[in-house]
Amino acid sequence: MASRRDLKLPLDSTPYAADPRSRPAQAGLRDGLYAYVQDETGVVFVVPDGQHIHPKVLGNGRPAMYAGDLTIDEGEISDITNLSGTFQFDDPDGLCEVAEQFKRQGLIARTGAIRFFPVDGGPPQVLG
Amino acid sequence: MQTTPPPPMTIFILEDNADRTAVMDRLLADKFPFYRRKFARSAGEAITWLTEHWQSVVAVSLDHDLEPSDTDQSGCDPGTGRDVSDFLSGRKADFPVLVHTSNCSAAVAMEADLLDAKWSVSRVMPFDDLQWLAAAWLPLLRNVIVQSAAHNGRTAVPASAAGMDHAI
Repeated sequence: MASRRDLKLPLDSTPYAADPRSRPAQAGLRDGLYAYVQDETGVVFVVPDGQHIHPKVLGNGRPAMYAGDLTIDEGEISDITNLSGTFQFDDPDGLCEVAEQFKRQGLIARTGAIRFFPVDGGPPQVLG
Repeated sequence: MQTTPPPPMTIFILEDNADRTAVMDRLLADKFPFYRRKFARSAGEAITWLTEHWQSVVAVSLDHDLEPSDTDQSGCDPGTGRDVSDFLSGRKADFPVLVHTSNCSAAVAMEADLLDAKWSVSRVMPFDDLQWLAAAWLPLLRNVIVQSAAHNGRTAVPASAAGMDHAI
């Protein structure tokens, strides 16, 4: 069970419909780049990455517990970040926790895959 | 004694086409909200800026063929992306470089020069007007920046120095 964290509303408050491809992350995801959003209950949803996609992962202006993007390579998470212009999460612990949640949903992050982008515009950091 | 904070990290783009730069700027703001974006229209402007802001560069993307600006009455030659890749080749490889040009022979030459100088280089060929920017250029740029984290020894930038003016 994911720990309760502060929720953030999307900076773009347009109530977009949820992308029909949005679904809870699970093992067997095809290789590629995805946007993810963790919902109010802790479940992480994913959609193939695209232009301004984050507000459409949950849709309807719903808030997020965390958000970013990730790469799936041979069924594993080869990188996972907090990159999202829509939500702009700036908490490194939250990124590590969302990686744990992915694991609970069946997707393992490789060693060194957790890449955090600091809100101060500093260089990306490897968290684990 | 106060020390000057490190400069904010910046994604640098050499591109003379206004339609492309508008799309690039929007895509980068959405993908990298914590980074600044800097665009240059000419090789000279690029080299000057890079020389002065070297430590703040997180990645560079280079076009090759550059047209003089419609508003520039000086008749100055804007140079080419090759001028900038030559400049980079003479310096320490500190950040990843993308080459984004339809000029295939120039792209191959720029890539070869940079690889010889130990730079990390990727290449993307434009297609479908502006569609390639979201479909190919941004994912590639995202990947090289994310991967650069593993090799990055620079320190984080204080919040007071960050450029958030472009965040959406």
